[in-house]
Amino acid sequence: VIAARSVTCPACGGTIAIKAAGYSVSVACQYCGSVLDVANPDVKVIEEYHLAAMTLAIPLGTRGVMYGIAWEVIGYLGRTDGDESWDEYLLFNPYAGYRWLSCGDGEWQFGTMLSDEPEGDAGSVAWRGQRFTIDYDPAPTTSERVVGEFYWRIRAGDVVQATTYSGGGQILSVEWSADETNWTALVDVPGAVVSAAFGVADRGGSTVHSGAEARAALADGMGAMRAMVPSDFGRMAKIAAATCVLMLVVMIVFGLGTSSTHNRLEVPVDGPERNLTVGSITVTRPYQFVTVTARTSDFTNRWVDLDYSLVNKQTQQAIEASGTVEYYKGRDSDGDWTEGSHSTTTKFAGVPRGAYDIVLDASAHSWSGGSSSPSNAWSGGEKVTVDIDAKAGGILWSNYIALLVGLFGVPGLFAWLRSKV
Amino acid sequence: LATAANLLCPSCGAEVPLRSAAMPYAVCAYCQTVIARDGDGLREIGKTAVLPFDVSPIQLGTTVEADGIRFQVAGRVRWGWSDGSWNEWLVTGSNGETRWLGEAMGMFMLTKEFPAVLGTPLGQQFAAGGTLAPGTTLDAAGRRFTVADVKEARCIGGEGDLPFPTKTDWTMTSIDFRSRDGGALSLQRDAQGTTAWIGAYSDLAGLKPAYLRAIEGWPMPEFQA
Repeated sequence: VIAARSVTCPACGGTIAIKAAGYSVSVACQYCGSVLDVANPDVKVIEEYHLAAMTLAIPLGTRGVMYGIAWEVIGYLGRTDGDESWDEYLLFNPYAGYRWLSCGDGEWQFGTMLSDEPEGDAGSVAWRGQRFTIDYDPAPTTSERVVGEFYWRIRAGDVVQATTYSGGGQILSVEWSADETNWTALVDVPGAVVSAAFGVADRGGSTVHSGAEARAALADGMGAMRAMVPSDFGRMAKIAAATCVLMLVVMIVFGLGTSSTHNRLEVPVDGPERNLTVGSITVTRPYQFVTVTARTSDFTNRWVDLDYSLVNKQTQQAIEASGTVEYYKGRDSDGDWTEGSHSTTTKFAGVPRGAYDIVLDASAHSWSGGSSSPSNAWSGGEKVTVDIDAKAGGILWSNYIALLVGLFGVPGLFAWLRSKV
Repeated sequence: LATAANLLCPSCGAEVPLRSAAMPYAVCAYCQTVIARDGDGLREIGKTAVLPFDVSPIQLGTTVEADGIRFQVAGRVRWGWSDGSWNEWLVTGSNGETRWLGEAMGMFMLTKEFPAVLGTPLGQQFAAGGTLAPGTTLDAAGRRFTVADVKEARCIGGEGDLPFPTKTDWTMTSIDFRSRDGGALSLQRDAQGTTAWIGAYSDLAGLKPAYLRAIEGWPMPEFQA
């Protein structure tokens, strides 16, 4: 049995454990950002920085099981192509090598580098019997922020040309510089699966606070409340109640006048994307909500991506929104778990008056539940039935509940605590 | 007659196990003395560096399988170049055949000697001291290979049984070619001459390995034979 190797950052003195010793060539210090050369026993500073330590959605050193293999996060790249930014995590297992886990816009992908390269021209390539077509013109991609260890010489600001090719429900990513070209096969991974594996906040958006932080925040709020003159309390509650009633009236008035449509679509699992014009609806008021509910047939460890377009019949202008129906089941050290449901509701807010066609692009994907590799996850013949109900108008109850919580939540808690004193 | 298995290191007296009878050189695991097998005796010919720690899953004694033949790792040479380092593991087959298992960036390349390519114009050009630019193509064994990289490498050290003594002043030029279907071709030139090797890229699981090295904190993979 052998132990790990660690180095001391010559710039800040921090101790950095080298997880892939012998493979790693560069280390970007997790404490100060300085880039070190660790290819040789004498560690050299390539570029010195004094940056604040970075908080990553998945901290370096986190381990998670995906596709039946335990992976450790050893590197992070914060990348951008000028329009969009995304995160890439370098995963390592000494017996399985390297993989990539990337996250842009809350969508996760798992990448495996290819040793058999696709063949073709700029517009389309062939790989393992499948044809892939280019998704966008190659764009320069910059690694703005680098942390952790890498098996090549890396620096913040490194630029490569990159694009992706799609075919048969799979994506191939290619990056090239003057020296080399790298191909990677990407598969979509549900956020819930990444969350279960690495303990990251699902969909990348929300920050998870510890219980201690939440309690501290609450204590601060209560301190402020105590400073308030007690007689103000009743008057404020009355104003808040009046606001709620007024808001309810406004929401009902603007929500009335509905038009609805229904349709059904069969989507092959891991098959091509299916397209359906769900039907037409009319928005009769200047601005109204359009609510689309999708209910699917029963499935386990599948997810369905739903992209809706609300196309104005006169102007052909489209408003877009998307939703996901996902349901997973599995077993880990805590026992059996399930995640997700078989329906989702997507709301378009403030749709202008007019007649609209609702167009749906749907694709269904299987998640192997960590029991098999991504390449043999595809199965044939299975379909998911999606029932779509769309209606214009209606009341956005979630907004109303948010209003109630916002107005009465903290004062209510305060009143309750006072009643106990 | 002393069996090779219990010969002792002429420098420190530690036992020098014999992994491959065909290999004329061995490195003492205790004092890094490079030993030449001279008939039935051992002769000290120099020292090699202590290999730096790495997380390679391969060790002396690991076995892998290719073309239906079981190979056992008998020795290793570690090479360094401007942008990193890699391992070349010497493996000997149950049929007496010798191959090299290259290991870099978590990927493996198992190759056997392929002298035919040295007769091609590009092979002769390289053997004569020329270089080949990345992207250059060469047709061999019915496949088209493309130069992926050219490395000026220096020997960092070695261990186990080897066909040559690993001296730290030993340098070579190494050219790696790839084919579209995952094939690997390698040309290596040093002061002694030029050799050519052909094989395929693989992940560790594809080599059907056994007797892998235990690495602290990591479970052994299920694919281990």
